[in-house]
Amino acid sequence: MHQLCRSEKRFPRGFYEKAQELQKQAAREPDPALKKLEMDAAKRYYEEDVRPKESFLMTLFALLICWMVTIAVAVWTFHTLGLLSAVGSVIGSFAVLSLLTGVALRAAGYISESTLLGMLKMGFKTLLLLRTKANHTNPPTHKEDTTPK
Amino acid sequence: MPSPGLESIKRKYPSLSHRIERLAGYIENQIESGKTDIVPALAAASLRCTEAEVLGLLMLFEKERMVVPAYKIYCKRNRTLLKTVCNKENIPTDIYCKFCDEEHADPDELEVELVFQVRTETWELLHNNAPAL
Repeated sequence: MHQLCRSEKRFPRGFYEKAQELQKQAAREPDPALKKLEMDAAKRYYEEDVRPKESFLMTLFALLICWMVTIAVAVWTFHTLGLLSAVGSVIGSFAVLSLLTGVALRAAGYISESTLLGMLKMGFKTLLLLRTKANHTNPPTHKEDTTPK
Repeated sequence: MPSPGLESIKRKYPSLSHRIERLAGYIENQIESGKTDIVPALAAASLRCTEAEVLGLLMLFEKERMVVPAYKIYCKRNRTLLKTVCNKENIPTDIYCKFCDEEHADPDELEVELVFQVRTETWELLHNNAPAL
């Protein structure tokens, strides 16, 4: 049995936890045809892990407030801070906004827990990729040896 | 005469035909004992296989419209069935429990179980062909 909210230990598994358990079982399956079916079953539980949706208008309203705050922060930083600091602040606030958007959509039941985690994972991967590329294009410069010989 | 749905599944997955027949036999036995709800965990325990396998195979039966998914909502306090809905979106936010004589609005007071309901008309043809478990 699966609780709507998971708090009791006797029935600790929500659909998400159930999906993880099924995924582990599928990973151990040697038959490739059956393994695919079992993975589909796990995927189904991941998709089931979405609660009934909140009102779309309320979700939209909550997101609209977040977006307005972020835009206001962007305008304020460009007025008061230097260009580089402002750009940094805006990038940071948009990152927070993206996170909030994902969490709001999850809380409202429009996306599943696995989708949200997948999005976060992709975000981190993208950031790491950008960092790696930046390191490749701008290799660390070695300081010239200025000590007197 | 074999069920067209079952034959179609076995044609698509010849390597799994033995497992498919075993699960079909289990479902047949359940129908014979008057049960039309297949609980994946119970089926897995009975067939001594994993729940993932049973669910994967039940999803094949679902594609052939031999079973349909359903959500059973239980009162957590009394472990009694309150309602069965066919669609997840139809799971109510609050539900009256006559055993507790109150509305359960807190999700912590409810439990939901995914089961598969047998469409008996698609299984009648199998009646005489069920393999022994």
